[in-house]
Amino acid sequence: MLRKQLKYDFIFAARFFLGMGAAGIGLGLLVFIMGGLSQSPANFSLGAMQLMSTAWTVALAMSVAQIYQLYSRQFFGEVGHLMLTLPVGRGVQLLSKYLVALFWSFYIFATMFLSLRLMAARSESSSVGITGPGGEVLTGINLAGPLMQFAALAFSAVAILFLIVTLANCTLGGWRVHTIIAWLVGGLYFAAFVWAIAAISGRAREWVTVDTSFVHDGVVHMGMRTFLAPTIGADIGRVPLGDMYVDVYLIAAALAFGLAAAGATHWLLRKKITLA
Amino acid sequence: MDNILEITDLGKRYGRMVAVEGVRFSLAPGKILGLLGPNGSGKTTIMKVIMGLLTDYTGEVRIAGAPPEVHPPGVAANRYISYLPDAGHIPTWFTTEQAIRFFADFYTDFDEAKAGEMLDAMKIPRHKRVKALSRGMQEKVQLAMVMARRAKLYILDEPIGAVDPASRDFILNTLLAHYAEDSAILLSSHIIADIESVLDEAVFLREGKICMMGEADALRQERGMSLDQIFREVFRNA
Repeated sequence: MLRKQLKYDFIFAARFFLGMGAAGIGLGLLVFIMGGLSQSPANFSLGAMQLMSTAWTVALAMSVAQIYQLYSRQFFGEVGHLMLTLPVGRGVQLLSKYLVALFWSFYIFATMFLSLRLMAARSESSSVGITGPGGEVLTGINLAGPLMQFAALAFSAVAILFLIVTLANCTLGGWRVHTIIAWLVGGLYFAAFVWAIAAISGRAREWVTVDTSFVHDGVVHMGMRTFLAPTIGADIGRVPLGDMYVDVYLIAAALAFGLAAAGATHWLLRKKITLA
Repeated sequence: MDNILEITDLGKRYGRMVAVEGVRFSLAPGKILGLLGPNGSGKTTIMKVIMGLLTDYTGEVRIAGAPPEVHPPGVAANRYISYLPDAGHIPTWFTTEQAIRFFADFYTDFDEAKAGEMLDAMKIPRHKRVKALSRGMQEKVQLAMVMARRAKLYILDEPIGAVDPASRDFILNTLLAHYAEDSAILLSSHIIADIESVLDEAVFLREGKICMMGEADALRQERGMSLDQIFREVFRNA
């Protein structure tokens, strides 16, 4: 049944994510082509990347919203009358949604990264415009370590989002009220969680020196630094992995948070679910 | 033969509000039982408890003769039950063909040919999205998916509530034509006049409690009036 549940959850989410990712890569390709025609390719690329960073911040927020809807509608909306009466256990349904949410999170980050790489291709730096602590221009991408970190963070973020929605539904009832509150609380929780993880890893002090808004810079730079781990300045918990560093504490804390949230969500769904 | 459904002293609260209290009835194979009552009388709550959509209830729900600890309401019991909720539950972006595929994927007792025949009889195109259909057509699609299963128990919540009189007749005829003699149907409605002709038994609910129940013919004979008239008399001031 997991395979069948995965199939339909994947299809439900693909309707939104496929198009968004494709549009992002399309824009990156367009900037790459237009940069070649521009008299100043480097400036054109950097300008486009700054604009695109804002667009991708919005895209990330929309992705979180879509993941929330995938879960909320199928458990607590009218479609829940169908999904929750299938011969599929709650645990299997939850696991399917976690896996699908993780897949599409990776997809969005991959398309975002590819899009920005396309835009940066004609700039003077062959990186995505990030400089290291010593002022050096970063080149090359090694994804193995950052992907592990991103996977742990993404799992935790999804699990916590699902837990917030379930808690709100179980305690408040009335889908309009719980939807609004779940959004606010979920968003604050997610932001606080990211900040807490960053603080554990010592990254937070880097962010407070940035003079742009936390939402924009935090989300975009977190994504960048996840893929460019050599730039991270934290020492505690860093484990060398080839020429990369992996934050063991970050991964352990993220997984612990995620598993706790997943367990609590599963228990709530079995015991407290209300589909009024 | 064991009853397909047995409800004993069922109670359900939403905080301080009593939704259902002391409800007790059973349903034998081959019977059609109507849960009748005005809006808010607890019909949907009872059905959702049977389907495992609501928990934290008191009392006992026994499905297909199995003790609750063996087949509690939920995943295991739902293999025997085909459920039509009050709200639209098929994703509206599905085509009718995709809806058939979906039910066939998850239910081993789903008869694809039967579903196709019903949709063809209703003249519903296979490749049209559910959201492009009228409300009545959507109800018919959902009913076709539910009745195409070879279930032991069919639970239909307000199956004719949102459709025109001609469609109501069609839906009721479809119900009678497509359920097996060893199955049973539990349906709810507040439009008594249209459904009473198909009912074998009736349970009248008011404010979550049973105020009258029995075989439909016996109730009519006892009161000398139709179930619809009994309903109007019982709930005149509800």
